[in-house]
Amino acid sequence: MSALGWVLGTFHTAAVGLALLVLAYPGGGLGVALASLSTITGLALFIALWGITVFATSRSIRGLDLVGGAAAGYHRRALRWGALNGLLFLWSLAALLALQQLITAPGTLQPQSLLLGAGFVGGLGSLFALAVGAVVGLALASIDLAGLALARWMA
Amino acid sequence: MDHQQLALVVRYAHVAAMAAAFGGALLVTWLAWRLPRDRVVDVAVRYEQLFWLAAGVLVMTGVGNLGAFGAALPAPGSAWGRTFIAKLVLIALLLIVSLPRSLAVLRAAARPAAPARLRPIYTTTAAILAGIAALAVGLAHG
Repeated sequence: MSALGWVLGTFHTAAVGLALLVLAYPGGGLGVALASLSTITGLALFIALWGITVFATSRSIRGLDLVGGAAAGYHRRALRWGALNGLLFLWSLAALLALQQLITAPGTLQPQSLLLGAGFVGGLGSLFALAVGAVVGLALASIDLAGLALARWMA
Repeated sequence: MDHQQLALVVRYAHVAAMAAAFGGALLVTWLAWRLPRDRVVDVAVRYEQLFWLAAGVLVMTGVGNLGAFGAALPAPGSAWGRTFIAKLVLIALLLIVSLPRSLAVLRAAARPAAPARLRPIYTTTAAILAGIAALAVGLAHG
């Protein structure tokens, strides 16, 4: 992992985390929503998002000299890797929530509901995650390029 | 580890990450004003890697701290809520300033001969972090 992949990937993770907080807090339901997650699950979920995002970002910038100003094709790569990022995050979310249910309330997770959930996550949910991930990836790539333009002015 | 112990670990991690980000920013700011550019860039590159580790930990543990409130999380219209929203705005500003700063430092490391405006960008970073720390103390102690 390059220093640039680490910086951009962590920036993307922090920006998405902050954006979700800014959107959720003024509505007033944030405390209840967070309380439904155990602390361990919440931390594991964030670490999963962080790891996946740094990986996807590092792959999307591989072979490009962004710091040197060669950014041709970055948006196309960000679209593709952003979509994969969204998909992997959804699958991590589903797996962690199922694991939390298995650990905290063993025996309450019925095979039928597990199959139904897996079907939804693997089908419609995956399509939605791909689309959201692609749009977020595209938006973050534009912010990265704006940041790079400012960086060129600074150094 | 029970819930309260875990919440305490999360809180300690939050404070430690803030100490690393703020303390590091103060150190690099001080070095940038005292030393020639070429001697500061190496330290700045290390700081940038540490800064983003701290930023990730701060967001992660910050959400964890909010989760510890549960349904008792103060409303956005309360004094605590307004201070918290001000803190979120400053954090957004910190991220907006930090992305080009980090990229500029990586660029300066790759191009040793080019000039770099390290003094104003690190001074600004340290000032924003001081504001966030002041608001955080207000949120924690009322």
